[in-house]
Amino acid sequence: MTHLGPHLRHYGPVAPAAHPGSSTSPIQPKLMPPLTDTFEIEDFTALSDWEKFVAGFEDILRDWGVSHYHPPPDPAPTNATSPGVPWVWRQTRREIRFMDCGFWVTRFLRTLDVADDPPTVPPPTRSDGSVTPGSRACQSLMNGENDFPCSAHPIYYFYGLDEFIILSPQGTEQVDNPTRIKMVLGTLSVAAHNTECGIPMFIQVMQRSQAQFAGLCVNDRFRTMFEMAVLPKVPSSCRNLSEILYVFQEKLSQPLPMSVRGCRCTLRRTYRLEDWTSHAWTQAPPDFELFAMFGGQLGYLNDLRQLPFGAGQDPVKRLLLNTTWPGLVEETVLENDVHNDLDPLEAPSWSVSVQFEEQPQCLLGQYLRQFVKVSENHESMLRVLGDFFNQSDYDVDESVDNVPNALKRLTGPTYGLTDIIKSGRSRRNSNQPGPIKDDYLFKILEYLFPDSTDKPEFPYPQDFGSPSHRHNENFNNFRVLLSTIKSCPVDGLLWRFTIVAAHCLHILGGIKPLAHLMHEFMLEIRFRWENGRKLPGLPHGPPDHSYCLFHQKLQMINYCIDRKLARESVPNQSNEEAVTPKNDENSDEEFFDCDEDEEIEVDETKTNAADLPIWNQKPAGRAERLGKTMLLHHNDFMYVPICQEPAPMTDDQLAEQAEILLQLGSDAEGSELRAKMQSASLLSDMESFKAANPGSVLADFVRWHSPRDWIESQKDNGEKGKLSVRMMTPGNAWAEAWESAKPVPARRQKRLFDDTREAEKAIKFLTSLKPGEATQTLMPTFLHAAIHRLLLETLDNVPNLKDIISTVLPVLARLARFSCRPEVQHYSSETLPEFDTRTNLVRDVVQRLSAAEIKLSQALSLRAKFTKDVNFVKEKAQLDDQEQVARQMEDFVRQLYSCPEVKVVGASRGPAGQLIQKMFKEAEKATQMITDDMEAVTDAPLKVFPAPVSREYIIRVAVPRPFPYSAKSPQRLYVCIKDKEFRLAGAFTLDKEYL
Amino acid sequence: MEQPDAILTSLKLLIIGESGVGKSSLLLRFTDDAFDPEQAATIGVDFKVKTITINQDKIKLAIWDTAGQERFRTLTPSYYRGGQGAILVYDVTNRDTFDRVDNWLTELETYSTNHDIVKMLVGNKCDMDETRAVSKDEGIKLARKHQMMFIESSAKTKEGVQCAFEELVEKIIQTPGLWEMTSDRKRGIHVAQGEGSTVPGGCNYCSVI
Repeated sequence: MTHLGPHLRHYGPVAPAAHPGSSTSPIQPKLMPPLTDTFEIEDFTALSDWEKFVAGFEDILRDWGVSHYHPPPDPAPTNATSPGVPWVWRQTRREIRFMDCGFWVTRFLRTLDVADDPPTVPPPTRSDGSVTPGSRACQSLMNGENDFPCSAHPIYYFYGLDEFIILSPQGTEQVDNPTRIKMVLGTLSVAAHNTECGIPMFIQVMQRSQAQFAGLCVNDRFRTMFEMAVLPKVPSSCRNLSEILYVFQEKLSQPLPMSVRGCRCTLRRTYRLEDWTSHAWTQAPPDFELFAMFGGQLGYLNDLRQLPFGAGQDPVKRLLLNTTWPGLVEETVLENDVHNDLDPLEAPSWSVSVQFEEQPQCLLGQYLRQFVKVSENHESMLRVLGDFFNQSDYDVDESVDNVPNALKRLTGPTYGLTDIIKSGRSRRNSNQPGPIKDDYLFKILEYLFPDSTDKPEFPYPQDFGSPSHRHNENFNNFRVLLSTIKSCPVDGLLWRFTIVAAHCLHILGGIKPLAHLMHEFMLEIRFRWENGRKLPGLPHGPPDHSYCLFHQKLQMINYCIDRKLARESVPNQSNEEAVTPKNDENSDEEFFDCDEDEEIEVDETKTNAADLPIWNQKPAGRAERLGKTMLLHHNDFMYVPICQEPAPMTDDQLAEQAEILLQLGSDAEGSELRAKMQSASLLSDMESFKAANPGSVLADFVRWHSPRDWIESQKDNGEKGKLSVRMMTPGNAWAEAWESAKPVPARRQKRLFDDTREAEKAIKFLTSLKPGEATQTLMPTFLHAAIHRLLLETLDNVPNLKDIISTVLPVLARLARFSCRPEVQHYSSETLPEFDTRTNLVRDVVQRLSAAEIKLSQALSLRAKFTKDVNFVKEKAQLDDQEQVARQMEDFVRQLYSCPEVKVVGASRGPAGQLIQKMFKEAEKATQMITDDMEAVTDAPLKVFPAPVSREYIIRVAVPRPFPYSAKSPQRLYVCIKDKEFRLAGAFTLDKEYL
Repeated sequence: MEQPDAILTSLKLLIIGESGVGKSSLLLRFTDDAFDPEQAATIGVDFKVKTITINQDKIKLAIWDTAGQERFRTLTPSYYRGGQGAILVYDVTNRDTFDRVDNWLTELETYSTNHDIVKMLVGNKCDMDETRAVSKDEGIKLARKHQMMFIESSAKTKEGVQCAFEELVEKIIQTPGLWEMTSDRKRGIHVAQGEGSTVPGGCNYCSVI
């Protein structure tokens, strides 16, 4: 078996005159280059698996350009935690195999974050003995500036090394027995020597989770061995500083005894706070005002008006306080069995970090997810409410055709909310309790229809729909985007209904109460339609297409109620027409000034009136006079008639209409048919005009209706003007319509808009929605409400929230455009995506909003903990300026939120330090169940801190090893003592010179 | 019918403006290359379909023509929704129709569902130079003020008509987010039919979010 290629060594000036075939070559890899020229053949063959492994590893090092490379000491070592220094870790990784076992070779380099430069490999420094002993590794080991870096690679944390190479087994493989460790370590050693690479190299040993390493670093002068031990328990010889120092000295006294003096010790105690007691932040405070008003009746619905927000459990899981004593000389500090100098309150440096709950159960998120889930439910209303309503004769088909009857049978006689409130009756006949308890239901309906009571607690705002004054600038930022998502006016009827529906879903137990609410809501709407009572909380006028379909339907019903009321309030027609004719022959000016009077009667005994047929002599349905314009062929002024308004349509009707128009095709014939279809309102206008202007001709009508089609005559021949060519063309639609138009005032024409039919259609549409479908139609409003809720809580220092909302809104706008489906399918590119696609879009939005809520909760929780007690802090920290304290604390919170570890200015004496002490003290009291009174009587002062969760020690010394005349070399020991883990990480260096 | 995969997208265009400025004539010239001096006054809305090719891409246009009379204004804006481009027409021989362009812009703003709808101002009847009442410069100025495209045209002489439509469409195509590829062009997406058809009346809205 011969190996060519990668195993040929190409370095050096000597061309490899290799004969790889020679099978008698020595199998030991060379530790050193040949010393003499006695060998004529340089043999670089690698035969054994181990040789191949070493060769492969060396190839990687050469590839990286780190052979003959001894990282020089950093001229200006920088503090890792100093803010504003853009340090980053760069990693490069390669794969290598040892027989069946794969390894990763990873190089780590901590470097300044300079633009897009690739990992900078300094030009190899050919070590000629003049460099070092101060290598970068030696320097790092002794540099106390970077002790206890946060969220760093373990090697960096344990040894302070900022450049190293790690060989780690892939997959589940482990290097876990002494033989294998030694062998791999040998690989590193051989490779380091062969390539003269001065970068520290490690192998990962034992289980990966233990983060245990062994390694070495070799340069011309020194050889450093990195040793690590991880134990489940503290050995009795290493329990405190004195014992650790002893162990350290013992270790250094090998291989030759020596006395070690002047060790520097950096110590750290870490305390954990998990019990927040009075500082806990669980959710936004309930609205007590509302709570009081609803009393016990709505108990847990502490605020119906909002979607909930915040976390059920404190999103801040724990706070870790690190108290650090940097660089103590060993003689100045004492920690042994009987004595302990280390009082955390006296520690010169404090820093804290917070850990957040990974998946906190946030209320809004739960609401969002549940709403989406229900929107995918396909059960019918009947099926959902089946066991609640006992209606064996309920027939689905009939219910569609004859909703009112079915509903009556379903629930007995319908009552309006007002009747119920006044009489205290239930709307139901059944004795069975509904999914929503009656008293809850009444409160909810009272909230939705506040006009049912004499003194409504929550009337609808006057200006809803328009940007409200309550909105902060966050809302203004998103106002335009929010207007594109087709929901409904904020705090209008549908807004309230949606929020209450969400509460029903979540608090009252799912789809059943939702269906019940829907049902009761529709009963009330039907009641109001039948009794001519307007729905509250809706903008005035016909359906507004910028709102969702559900809202449009409600507006349609309201519009119908309006029309019905208007129709019924018109006084008797015969009276109206029997107004006594007035004589205004000479004084028409003042008479026609009163524009509002719709029923002006004119004396029409003028000469031409008698020529008219008797049934068209009396004008009817005049709205106002059109200035001084006279009719062309009749001796009278021209009047604008009272006209019928065209029928308003909801999105779906409009789409249907558009579809019909489209189906007529794009040719001339289609155009003609379309014109005919739409000429109803033109004809109606003509009839009204004829009625208001007896004796008028088409030209008169055109002068009012389409003035540009009347061309004023320039000549003085008595002719006033003429119609445009298109109006004079024989058989044109306008002329035909005029021919067929009869003088009938608007009020006696066939109605263009049948309010009864339209109202029934809208109600039928809404009542036939399945609960799941209802939630789908409510989705835009619901998501709008969720965004609204988040914006109410927005803090400036939550960086991502605005981004999240900015990304979410266009998605919702896109969803909104899908809602005009058939229309869109035909003449727009936005074909309706599959249901799944839309659901995914919604799910995506929901997920983003949930994430925003979590982020916001975390920030709010931190704020609640650290910025509420400004007075306490001010007093304790003996600061005068309250504003300054507040600012400092805000700053502190901002850092806590964005940085992994934050230095506490002034340690225990600073403002934040005082507050943290207080928190620990309260938590301690809570665990020991001590009340304030007890504290006053006990003699012993209460401990502030519990036992530390970890004690860490870093001992450093530079001593000549192994001989007294060797060069001084860095020695370092890191020790960490935790409850269930004990770790020793030593770096011990020997001077190679005289070995 | 064209191969569906040949169509890059279909767009909805609107033609609006005062009555008698020549909206329907412009459309007829563009779609049928014809001119009818007796072109009937539009009642309500009308539409025509035409497929054009821009940069080798076939684009299907549905162009909605509207009546300009005041009394139709309660009816026509309903059809603005979903429009990606709008052609605002005035008559260069009639000052009044130019002065009212502002009103049409407001109306478009109010009823259009696409906030970034592309607008093109067209001064029609530019062949009638002897009775011209609005100069080209005024048209350009107004277009700049409202960030519109501008061209003068004559449905009678063909001048500028083709160009107006093509430029508008090209601009729409260049505007991201305003249009989407037809589903046939997107692999893996299939338009579900008849979904939510359980709702009586044949309307499919209840399941639409």
